[in-house]
Amino acid sequence: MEKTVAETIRYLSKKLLDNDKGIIIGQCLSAVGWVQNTVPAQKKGIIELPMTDVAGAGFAVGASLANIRPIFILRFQSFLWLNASPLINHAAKSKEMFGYGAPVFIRAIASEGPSSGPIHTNCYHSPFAHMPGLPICAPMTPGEYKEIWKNYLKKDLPMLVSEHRRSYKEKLEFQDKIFPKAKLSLFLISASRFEGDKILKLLRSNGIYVDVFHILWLKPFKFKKSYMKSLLKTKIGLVVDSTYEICGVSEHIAFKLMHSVKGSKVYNLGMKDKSPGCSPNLLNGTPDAFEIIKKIKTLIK
Amino acid sequence: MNYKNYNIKKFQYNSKNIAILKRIFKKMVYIRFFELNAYESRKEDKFKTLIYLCLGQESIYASVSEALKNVSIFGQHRGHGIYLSYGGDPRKLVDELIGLQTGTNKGMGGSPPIFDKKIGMFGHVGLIGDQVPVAAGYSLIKKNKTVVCFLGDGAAEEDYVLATFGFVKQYNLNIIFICDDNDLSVLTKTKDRRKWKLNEIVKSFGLKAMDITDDPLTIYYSIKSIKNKLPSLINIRTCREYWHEGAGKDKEGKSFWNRYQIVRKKLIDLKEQNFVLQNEKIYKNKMKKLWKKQLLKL
Ligand SMILES: Cc1ncc(C[n+]2csc(CCOP(=O)(O)OP(=O)(O)O)c2C)c(N)n1
Ligand SMILES: [Mg+2]
Repeated sequence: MEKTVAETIRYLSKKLLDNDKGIIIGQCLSAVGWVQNTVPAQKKGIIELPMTDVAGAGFAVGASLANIRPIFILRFQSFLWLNASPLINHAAKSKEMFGYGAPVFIRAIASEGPSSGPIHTNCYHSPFAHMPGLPICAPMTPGEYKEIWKNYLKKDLPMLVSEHRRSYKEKLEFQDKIFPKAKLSLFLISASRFEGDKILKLLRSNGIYVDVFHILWLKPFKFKKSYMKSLLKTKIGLVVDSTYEICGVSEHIAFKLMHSVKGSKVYNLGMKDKSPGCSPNLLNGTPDAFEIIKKIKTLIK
Repeated sequence: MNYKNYNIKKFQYNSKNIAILKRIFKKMVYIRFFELNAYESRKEDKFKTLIYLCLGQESIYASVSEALKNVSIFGQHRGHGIYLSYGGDPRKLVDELIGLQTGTNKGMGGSPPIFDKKIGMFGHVGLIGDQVPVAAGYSLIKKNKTVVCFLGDGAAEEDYVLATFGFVKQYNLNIIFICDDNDLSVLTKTKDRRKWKLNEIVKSFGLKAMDITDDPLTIYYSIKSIKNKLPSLINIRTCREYWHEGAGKDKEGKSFWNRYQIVRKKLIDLKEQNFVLQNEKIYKNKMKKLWKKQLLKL
């Protein structure tokens, strides 16, 4: 049977632990549903942390120097802020400063909706992308998870994995969609990718076609020929992400794309520049299909 | 271990102490019926914001607020009891929990950020223990005001919380920490997180510290005995009765006790049955009506 994303993460992690190649380290791992069932329900290799959100990352980084592969879990991405220094200043710089790597696998989990609120809503990969030495990806499918895991095991570098709870029960793989008549090139990141099919369907009913691309690697951002080809055709692009719109990864990728295809204009869309609230009128999350379509329509006018 | 009677003080139930106990119990009844209504409405999915109920822990907030008045207050995410027992407007609290513009924070964050400047209470951002260094920074400047800062046994482990104990002693700040020790961080027990005891750690930083159960008079008199010796900390053992977040009931294991029922029984034994029943009736009706009225705004 096909595995869901959560089952894939659990399976890969279990293999690592059972072969004595690594540990899982984080807060409230075992007692609280094994982190949405992404952690194998076992004692072996599981390190429960006290609630220390600054030293916690340091423990994980230290473990990574001892020839094992620590999976460091942050149950909300907001905890990245507190845990940032050991990850950014030690793990990410280790290779350049000391010549040896600190391969900590950072699982930062995003969630959104009325019970997430102003601090815990969505992703914080953008500020981390600003700093050197830390590859960042946002896998949303089982296949992508396997791909980034393989990549991680091959190198001795840390990796920031920007996960989203919305993906955990998914089994599907995404494919880029390209249409000769497309009027815009749409690049989707993180949970916005789950809106892709709906966007296509709704637009098609209006006779509008867009090319849809799924972005897995945020840093380094991997250009594909198909992106250039699409932009050469449409001349208009839109990059959507599950985090704040300004000063972030989506804006950066839009800028890079725009400069790679002469005469193209690439825009970006994400969360508004204000704190999300719990109340329905204050929600501020991943742009949904309707918001994305609204933006697309203003761009292709 | 069951901490039901941990370092409990024996008191004479003279008229003075009975009067104190009654004042505290009245607040416990108030908090309890407020929370039971929150629980019911959330269970029925009338709203979906983040809520952290303090059922089972009511005696802490009721007793602390009786013993420490005219203070500045910093709470954590489980703060309904603090807000209510210090006199915050219950309508604004309901509105916040159900996500209305008329809530304490305009519907921003459910339970964690609730505050009321009128009662001296600041809001919490949602990161556990964040309030602890912030309370210390406030106290550093507002020297004439006593600051009471609540935290949980989980938050006590945060690096920045431990560092704060050193800081408040260095500057001899006028601050008292109250740790609601429900032996849980979400669902992880303290024994799975650490080997040290908070009151001992804090003492080694030079603070006065106590470790007691959540018996109202024990809390009340412990605070009275320590409040002129700040900075200090009181760790209060208590039992969370309902889920960490949202509406659900925790399992009641061997180490569980229900302080509300214990205090209630004590008052009845002290021939205060009328007082108990009357207040339960009043708050049961009042809170039901309040919730019903506010929910109509949805
Ligand atoms: C800095 C930070 N780390 C982790 C969390 C996740 N979290 C939310 S509530 C909670 C439990 C905290 O336990 P405690 O301080 O004892 O408070 P209680 O819920 O028991 O009242 C945790 C770990 C958080 N909100 N903030
Ligand atoms: Mg606790």
